[in-house]
Amino acid sequence: MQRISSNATAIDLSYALRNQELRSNQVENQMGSQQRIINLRDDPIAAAHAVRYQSWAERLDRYDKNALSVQADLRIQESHIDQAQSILQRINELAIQGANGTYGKDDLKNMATEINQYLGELVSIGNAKGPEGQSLFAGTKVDSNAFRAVMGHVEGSDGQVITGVEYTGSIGLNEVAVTGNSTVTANFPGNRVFWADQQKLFSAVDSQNYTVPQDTSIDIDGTKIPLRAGDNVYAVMTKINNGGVSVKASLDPVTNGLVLQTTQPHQMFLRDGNGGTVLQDLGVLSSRAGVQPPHNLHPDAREFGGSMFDAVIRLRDDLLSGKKDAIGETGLAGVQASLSNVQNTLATLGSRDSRLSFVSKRLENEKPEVVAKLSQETDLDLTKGITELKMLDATHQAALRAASKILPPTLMDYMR
Amino acid sequence: MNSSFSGIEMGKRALNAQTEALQTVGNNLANVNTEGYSRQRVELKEFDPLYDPALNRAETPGQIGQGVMVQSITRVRDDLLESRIDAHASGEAYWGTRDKYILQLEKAQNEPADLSVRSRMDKFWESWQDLSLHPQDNASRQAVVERASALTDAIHLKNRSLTDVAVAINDDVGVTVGEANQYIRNIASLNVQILKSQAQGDSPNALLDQRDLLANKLAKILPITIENKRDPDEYLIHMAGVHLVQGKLATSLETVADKNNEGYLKIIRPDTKEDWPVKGGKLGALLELRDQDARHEIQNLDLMTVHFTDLVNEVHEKGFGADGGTGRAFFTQYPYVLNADGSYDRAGTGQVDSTYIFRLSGKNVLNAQQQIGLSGTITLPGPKGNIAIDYKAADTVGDLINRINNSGSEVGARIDMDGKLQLKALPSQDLNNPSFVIRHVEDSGQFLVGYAGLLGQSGAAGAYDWTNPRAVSTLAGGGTSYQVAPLTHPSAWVAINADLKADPGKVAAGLGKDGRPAEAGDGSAALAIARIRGSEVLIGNAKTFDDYFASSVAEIGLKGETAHVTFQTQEKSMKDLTDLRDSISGVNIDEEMSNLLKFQHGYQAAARFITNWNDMLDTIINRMGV
Repeated sequence: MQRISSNATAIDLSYALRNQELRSNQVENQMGSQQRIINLRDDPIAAAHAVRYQSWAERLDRYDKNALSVQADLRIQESHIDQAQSILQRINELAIQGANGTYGKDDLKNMATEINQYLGELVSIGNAKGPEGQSLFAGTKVDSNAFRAVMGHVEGSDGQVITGVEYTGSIGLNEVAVTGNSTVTANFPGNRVFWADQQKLFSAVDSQNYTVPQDTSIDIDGTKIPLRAGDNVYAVMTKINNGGVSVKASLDPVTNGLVLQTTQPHQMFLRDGNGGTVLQDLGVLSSRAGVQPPHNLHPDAREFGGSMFDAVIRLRDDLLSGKKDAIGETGLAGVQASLSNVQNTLATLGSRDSRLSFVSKRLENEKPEVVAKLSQETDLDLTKGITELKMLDATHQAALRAASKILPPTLMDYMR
Repeated sequence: MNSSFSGIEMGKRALNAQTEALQTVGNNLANVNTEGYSRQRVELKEFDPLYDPALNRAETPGQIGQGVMVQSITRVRDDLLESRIDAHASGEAYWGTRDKYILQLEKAQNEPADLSVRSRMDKFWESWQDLSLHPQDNASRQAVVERASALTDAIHLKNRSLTDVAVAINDDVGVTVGEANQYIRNIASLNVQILKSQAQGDSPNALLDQRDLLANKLAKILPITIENKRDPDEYLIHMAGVHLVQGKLATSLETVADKNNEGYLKIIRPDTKEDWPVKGGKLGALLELRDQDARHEIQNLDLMTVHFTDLVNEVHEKGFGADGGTGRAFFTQYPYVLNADGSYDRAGTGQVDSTYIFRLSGKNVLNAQQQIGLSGTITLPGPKGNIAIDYKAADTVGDLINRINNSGSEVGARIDMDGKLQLKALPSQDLNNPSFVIRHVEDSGQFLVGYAGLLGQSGAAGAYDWTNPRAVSTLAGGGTSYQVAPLTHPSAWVAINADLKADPGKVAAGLGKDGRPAEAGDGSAALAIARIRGSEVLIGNAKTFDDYFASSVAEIGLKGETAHVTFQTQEKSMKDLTDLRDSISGVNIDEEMSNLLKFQHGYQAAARFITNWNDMLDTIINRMGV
């Protein structure tokens, strides 16, 4: 440009000042909020990353909370199961003493009274409730008691004593998420923890020539096993054995009835699938409407093996009636089976607890790193911010000082 | 021989010329701060000689000069530079408008902060996690309802913010069109005045300056081209092939409410009433911002809302509340039309003529890793016509689903939690097509027919098309399900089921087993809903909700960054051009001052000359021969 008009300097000055004030304002905003990103346009990619990191950090927090919560719940359960273990050990001692043939009938009766008290205590452990009033060992049926004691009279007892304990909970497992893809089971159903021997079920119906009439399914311990029309009893047994449940099926050679046996000590929960009647036809389940497992067994089917309560009741009854041989054989065996089952549960619980400790530790390590990444994207570097503010301030002052001189003397001033 | 008084005449002419020049200098000084003023300069010319060389000339050698005259008073202005400035002005205004409004769209996102839709949604998922820990707890259920309320509030707020921006832009369109019409009329009337003035041989500088100023202002609003500046009768301003100003004729822009676009204004040609697209300038930017950017943001929010509520409802309806009830939706659904088959009268003729269905589900259970073993072509609707998607025998079901989702069609596919194929409609880009309505599904092979159990027949005869009011009859019977399209803008009315708000105990926590009601401690439904957060649910191109939020933040942020940087660049180059114009046409006080001195001296010299001549005449008249 060869010529400068009188307004040129004013225009330039206002343009430069305006830009400077914009920049100062931006830095002041950043300093005030300690955030580098005031608007998304300031750094869109960093904002996108920041958004992901924030969500991720919250997720880690949640998983950590879940893991700690389940750990606490498991420890409460452990304390109850541990107590049951101590009681069983005491009962075991009494059983060994009683099996030793040196005690008289009165002594045995005293032992039976002690064991009866322990039985009551075991039932109340089975029905233990957590801090929120939920039943600990009833599976997912946490609003009802896990076990129900049936009272009655037994030979040699004074008054009503417990003659049977039924399981009134369910086998549902409560899964809690502790990482993105995996869960941890937070509860132990009572009919697995407090079980003694393998359960065996013998059907009385001859099923050699049975065929499944239509496509249906059967439900064993919560796992659905589909059956096709035309399957005979051997095909059904193969499907059960390969169905991924801890139950073994076989055919009794004498009666040709179906035999179901557990491979891990627990109580079987059997059901027919929707609209099907296979287990009823095979004589395993009762065809009465409205009954729920485990009380839905066929009245003619014979059941063997029982819960820890059954074993203790049997021992007490044997002691009350003075049957020394029975004490030494079935009584002792039952108590020892219960004890080993409870110890297995404690081992599983311990390993779950240690897994949760690992998970919690990993989350605690990961969280600060995610927060660090978030901070890197969005937080303002204080040193940089202050330096820039100071620099802008100095530039602004210099520009204003120069501006005050933009009204230089013109020719007008020199003409008289 | 000259006349005795010719000297005085010449002096008089000189005085006049210098006076006019002085006046022009005075005019320039007075207008030093006027916007759009270009300095004026007097063109002095020597007066024409007394006579031409001809037979009746005087017999003396040489011609005696006859003094000075003012030839013209012209503006100092570079027309080519003006054209460049006008062309640049529309670009600068376009980006300036974009910069301003996209900032508002960015602010509507509320990120990265704790008050955004995303953070409320994080808390919502968390409340389900809490419920899965203690499914028997009523407090956890209440927390779920509360968090869901907070989330729906956040979604409503975001929708309202975005809609407010769109409405503000629409108002701006109306005002800007009025402004543009005003300028057009004023330019045309100025042309009339200029024509009259120039016909008399004058140079109406003030009017020309005014006209140039108005043309510049108009160039900021519309992408116009100006031609034939020198000829006021043919002075032409046109845009996209239509003349706005021609000499004294002016054509205004007209607007009309567009019923396909929320009743927003659209520009039409005043003669044929056809759509008149404006691409550039402030008005072009406003229309694009309203119809593309803001609309896209709102559609994105709607899409996320529709998907999200559908996924949560899908699980929740299978779950059982604490009272044992099931089949309850968590979020209320308001259908577009209260007809179970989605039949709707779109053309307003009184007869149903379309089917508005949002989701179709097949009846067969599919496995994503299984090879199809069939081949054919699926036809789905796209933004401009239908899109064909081939599949071959060796493709797996998962491959085909990915191909459908990446094909750019306005239908998305997924396998739902029961393993069945689901087709869901996406927002439509064309304003004439409604959003969230499946327009066409056709399969030339057997995949959608026998394999997935969706359509009843293959080929065009069995195609599902929305122009058929009984389109659901083309679906395979027994087990397929469909859902009517939601009312427009789901993000504006999404709400929790009122039953659940009144009684949080009805919130489902457990899925139960095989249709048996869930027990009190069963948290499987809560866990399944909480899992939705991280699973691949496919919203448009985003795989998970995290992807959706991150990419929507990045998208609007990048638009804003581009707008800001481009605007700053345009502003800077415009400043360079205007600085150049100012250096040519701007007034320099020093220069004017020295001109003042020059003409003042000239005036004084002419006066002195007249005085001398007067003395000479005085000698002749009063002293010779007395």
